[in-house]
Amino acid sequence: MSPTKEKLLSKDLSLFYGEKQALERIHLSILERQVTAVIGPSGCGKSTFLRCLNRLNELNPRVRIEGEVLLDGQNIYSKEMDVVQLRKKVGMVFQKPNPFPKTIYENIAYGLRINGVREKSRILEIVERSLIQCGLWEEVKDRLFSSALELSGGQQQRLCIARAISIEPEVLLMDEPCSALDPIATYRIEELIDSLKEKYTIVLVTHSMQQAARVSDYTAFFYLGKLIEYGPTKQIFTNPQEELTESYITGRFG
Amino acid sequence: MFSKERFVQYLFFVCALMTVVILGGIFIMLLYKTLKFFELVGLGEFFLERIWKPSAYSKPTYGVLAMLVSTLMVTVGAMVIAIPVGIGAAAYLSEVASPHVREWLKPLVELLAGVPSVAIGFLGIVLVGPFLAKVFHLSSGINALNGSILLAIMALPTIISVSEDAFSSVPLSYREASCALGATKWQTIVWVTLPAALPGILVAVMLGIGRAVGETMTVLMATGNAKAMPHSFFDSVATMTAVIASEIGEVDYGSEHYYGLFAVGCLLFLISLLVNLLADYFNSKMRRYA
Repeated sequence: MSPTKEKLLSKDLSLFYGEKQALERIHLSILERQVTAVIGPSGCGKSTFLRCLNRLNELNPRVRIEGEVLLDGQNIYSKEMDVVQLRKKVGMVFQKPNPFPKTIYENIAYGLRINGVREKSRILEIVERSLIQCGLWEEVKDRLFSSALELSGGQQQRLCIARAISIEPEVLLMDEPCSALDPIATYRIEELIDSLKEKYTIVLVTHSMQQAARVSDYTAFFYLGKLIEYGPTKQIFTNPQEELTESYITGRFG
Repeated sequence: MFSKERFVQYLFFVCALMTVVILGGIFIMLLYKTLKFFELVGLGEFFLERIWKPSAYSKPTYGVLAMLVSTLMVTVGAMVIAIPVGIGAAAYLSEVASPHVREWLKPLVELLAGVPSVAIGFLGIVLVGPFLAKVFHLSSGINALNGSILLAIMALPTIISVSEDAFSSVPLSYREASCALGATKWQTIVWVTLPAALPGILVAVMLGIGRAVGETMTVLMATGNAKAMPHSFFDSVATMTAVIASEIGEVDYGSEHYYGLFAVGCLLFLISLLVNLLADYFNSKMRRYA
């Protein structure tokens, strides 16, 4: 594997919900144009960690964060960082497909408009391109102007991915994107992740170890708010260094 | 044997039935007296004649148009004020205010709903009237605009609290999706949360309109009670409710005039029924999307 650049670095990152500490001094480096999987049992802080990378945790006023997250060497928690600009660079796909209750077209056009794309022809062009990239174009091209809520769960999730990549972020955060989907829809999303990593740095939180093994290049194992082990996926799954990791991937708990 | 369980069931059924019977009773009573009126005075006169002049010496006229226009005018004026302010306040309470601020602001809004309409009427005479007279250089500020302002104040608590519920019932995931795309809080409210909450907000507006259309005491006190066709918001007006309330006490039982007031009441009933049905329609629409 060719050496790649570090895209994101979480430096001694701790997070508190009120008094309760949910993340403990996470130190993790995420490489450019690689898929990094974050695995661990429920409540281990993997989703919370993901939401630190685009500062989405800030929507909850009870959250307090210590430490730094560097994006291309710049601390995203510094005062100079514009959170709106940050989220344009770091897109996100959520656990439950959450298209807006608008048309399919409008779901993608909204993100473009708030990012300053005004021309209609340009918007239509990007909508088409994003849908093609997500393999959804053929299925929806005749009903772009009907409600996105009429799509199936898997289609909705691919629409959400199309929405996220339409504004061309650099990093794509995916928070258990297949947990609400059936196996076939899951397979399509995994294929999509594989094709997207040519362009984007992807951080994938998943509760499925098979999924992590199938699609990721690097894997981080979280347990009780701590990063237990991090390394190339192959190594984590075949030759883990920590006993806790081994117990988890062999299914002794979780 | 007549069991206790059975008895309780019947008791509750009778309680529920009561509202239906009362509603039906009101409607039948109104309809009966209204039909009596139309036997004496034609439908045409009621809806085409502009002025309500039951005590004219030569020939009394029973036209509902002037007071219908007055009611609509005062209500529309109230909504022009109350809808933007109410939705803005609801958006602030639900989307912007810190939990601490919300905690003391919400009860205050609800407190406003509890102020008696007579007290709001005093406010119109003592404060709003003189204020309007001064600002617009009028001889008197007791006019339609005054009524609109007061009705706006009275409709606000309903509009705010129902809209706020509509805002809060928008799933958090929509807001997160919008923020994650790099939208500001303002963009998220205007383009995502507000459209998603719209059916609920329409319910709020309909309930507000219902409150304004049916309100009697404040408009009786603060709009001047002049039974003429209004030409502007600075004219004194008499709404349908105000006419009924001010005249029913001194009318001869069984006269044309007496039945006429019931006809006005019946029209008012139909208007508020329509508004409520619309609210219900939007409500069912909202549930479907939730």
